[in-house]
Amino acid sequence: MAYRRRQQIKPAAGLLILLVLATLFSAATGRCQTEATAFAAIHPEQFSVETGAILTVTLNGGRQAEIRLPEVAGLHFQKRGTSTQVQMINNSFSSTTSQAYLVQADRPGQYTIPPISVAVDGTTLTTNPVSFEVAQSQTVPPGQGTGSPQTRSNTSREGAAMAFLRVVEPREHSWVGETIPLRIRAYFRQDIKVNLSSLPTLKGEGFVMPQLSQNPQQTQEDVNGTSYSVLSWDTSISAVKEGKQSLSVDLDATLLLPRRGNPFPPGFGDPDIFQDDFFQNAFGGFESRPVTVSSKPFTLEARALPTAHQPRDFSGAIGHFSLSVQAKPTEVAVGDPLNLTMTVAGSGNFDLVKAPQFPEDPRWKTYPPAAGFKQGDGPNQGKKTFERAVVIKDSHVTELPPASFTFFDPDKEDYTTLTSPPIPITVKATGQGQAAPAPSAPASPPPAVKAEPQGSGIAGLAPIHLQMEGLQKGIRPVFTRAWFIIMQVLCAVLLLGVLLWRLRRSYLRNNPALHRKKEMRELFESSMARIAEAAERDQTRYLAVCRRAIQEMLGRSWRMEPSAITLADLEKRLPPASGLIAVFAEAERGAYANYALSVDRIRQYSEIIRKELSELP
Amino acid sequence: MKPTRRISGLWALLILFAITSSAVAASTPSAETLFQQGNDLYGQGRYQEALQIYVRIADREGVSAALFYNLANCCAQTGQTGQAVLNYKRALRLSPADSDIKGNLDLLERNAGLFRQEVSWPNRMAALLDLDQWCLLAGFALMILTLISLAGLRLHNGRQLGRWISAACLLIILLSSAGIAARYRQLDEAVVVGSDARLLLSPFPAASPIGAIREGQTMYYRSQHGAYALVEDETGRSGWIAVKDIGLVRGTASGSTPPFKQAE
Repeated sequence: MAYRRRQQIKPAAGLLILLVLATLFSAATGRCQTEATAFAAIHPEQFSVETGAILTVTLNGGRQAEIRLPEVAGLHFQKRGTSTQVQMINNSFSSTTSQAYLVQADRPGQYTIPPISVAVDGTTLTTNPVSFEVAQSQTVPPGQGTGSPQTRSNTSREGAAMAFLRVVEPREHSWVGETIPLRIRAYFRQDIKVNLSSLPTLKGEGFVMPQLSQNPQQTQEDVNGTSYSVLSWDTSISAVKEGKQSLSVDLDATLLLPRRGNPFPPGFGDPDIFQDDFFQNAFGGFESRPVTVSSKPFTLEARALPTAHQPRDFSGAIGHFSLSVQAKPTEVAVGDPLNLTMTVAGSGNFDLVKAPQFPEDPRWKTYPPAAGFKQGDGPNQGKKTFERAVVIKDSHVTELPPASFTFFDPDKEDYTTLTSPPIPITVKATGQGQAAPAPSAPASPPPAVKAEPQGSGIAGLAPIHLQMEGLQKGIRPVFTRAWFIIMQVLCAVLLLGVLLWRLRRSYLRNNPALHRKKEMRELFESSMARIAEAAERDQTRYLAVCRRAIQEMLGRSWRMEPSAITLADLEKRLPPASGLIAVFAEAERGAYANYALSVDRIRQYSEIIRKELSELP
Repeated sequence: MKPTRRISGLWALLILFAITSSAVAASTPSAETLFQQGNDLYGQGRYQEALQIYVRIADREGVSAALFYNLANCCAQTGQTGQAVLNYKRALRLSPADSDIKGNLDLLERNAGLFRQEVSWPNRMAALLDLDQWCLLAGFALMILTLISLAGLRLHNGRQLGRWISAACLLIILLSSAGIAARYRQLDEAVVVGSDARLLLSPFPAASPIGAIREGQTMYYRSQHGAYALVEDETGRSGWIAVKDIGLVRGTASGSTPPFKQAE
């Protein structure tokens, strides 16, 4: 807002400079308009004591004008601004200066402002007198108050009604108990801040209105050129007693009106500028004014419902309804319940809509219905659903009879009875179904129960249990019990272990180098174990075991048949200094000589074998 | 002399304690005795008295399927349809395969005009077992799968059979998981026990009623606000109901009072 204000001030300053230059120029040339005139006008000519009108004093041809406003009892004038226009026609300049005043009245009445004196260039001019009318209050809508709509809906912001309330009137008559729609629309001028003190209330006797919503629909609307914020409530009223009643709707609100007058002390700048909306808003220039906005009274006649030919099953429903009935399932066994869904839809007083009548018959048993209501789009529209359980006790029943619903039609001014079509069903005569607790054929009491003397009970119940079984502290789901959780966690851990094991095995199988390395390690360990055993127990076989171990390890390493490896192969492929050659040669000699080695030599050979075989690739 | 006197005094105290304990034990009947008393009263048609005894056992000793079942029978015989349905359902939780419980519940519901909603075939399949049974089935299949996997590490014969059994176990675990998911709502199952219970728009006494609900009707508990519980019926309609008018099936109490939080 402040930014916008600055934007407006800049062009105004430029314009002022231009005007000053033009005035100086015209003074220098000395060819101004020769004769000055003055006149006054007020706009609008009718306004209320809460608002005001703008008095404009216009001077044509003058430059330095001094306006002296007359004193008028009951009227206040506030200077609102000056405007000047300069024209140049055929090198001749003319200027028009207008001074605006806000005129407010203390009380209603007819007023006349006498001619206003204007001093121009040493002469005094007078304007015409100005007459206008001040009304009492303007919280009535245009066209509904004392003034004409055209007068109240003019383009002046002060001249338009601040708030008014309209009721979209229902019919001229209704029926006692009937719910008729009502639309309440509260209009508030858009430039006025409003706080609602209450929701709209119905004034008058014989009719009631339900509690309204705290959140009405909000729209904007232009009424005779003035923009209004409109709050709308769609509701309904219903008559509680017959007779002609005068009704209206009231709404309490607090209007926050801009405070008239300069909130700053005298000499604090130009007072006109503080009359602007920006400053009025920024410096809290508002005054609260509680008002009660009332609608135009309307008359409604409530008539009593005709008692002649009133159907017996009429429950008080008034409106326009339709009936639909469904059964589910349509194939049942004797004794099994089926669900009868009866839906009454339409518009009307659903509070008094009772369940449609379903005929009683010994061949079936019905139960009290459960009701549910679903609101429709309008205030009186909706759908009420009744679900009634029906247990068929006779297998010869082939259809469900019609259900009926009676209501009063306000348009026809008569009662209407809706009847649903019969619903074909299939009833199976099963043994289990026949054992159902039909009152005509009660089942025999169970043997474990000695007697069932109390009449309120159910016949056919299975007998009580005689063993109490193990007691527990409560009903706990099995998945919250410790043993179940432990078992599941254990299984999960084991499964995970198996899975990891299988993955590892698969990894080794798919990696030959790792697999071979592992085989070599296993072979080495088993060979060394055999050598150690031979050294311990059978020293005559020691050399043969060593020779075999060397052949197996080298065969695996060189990818050769172990038994085909000879001393020549060792001498050819191993380094000359390798201890394995000496051990292998000793073993070959020993194979023929069959002698035993000393303990020291055995330990020495074992070390050589361990060292060199462990280093094989 | 003094230690001897002290020991004698201790002995005297112990004997006194033993006598007192046995006297107290003799004066307090055991749960079995009470249960038998309740059964006798039921047999004589004194259902209300039997009911009080069963409730006393449940409050003091704990619960069992038979206790809930007998309690439900008492409620059914005294016209307390809601409490009867509630206790039959509790009994079924502890003994899901008991045909007596199922039969009586079915009979009671038919007699009270309480019909079950039509459900889709997947829900019908899920309803074949209750939540605990689905859990046990899944746990059993997992155990078999584990054993088969462990055996597969050592045994090299019959691997094909092992694979088939493992696949079957996995399928059972999968189906059981679906069953558990479908039946998980069972944890919040509740039953209307008040005869004039009303479903309200908000948890306040003056709130507008949404519709009537029937005693014995199954609801699903959602939350609690003061003396009201937010519930949903099998059609998805939700609203507030007075805590005193509803009982949770998984409750630990005997059924005379619903096991909700203490109403504020």
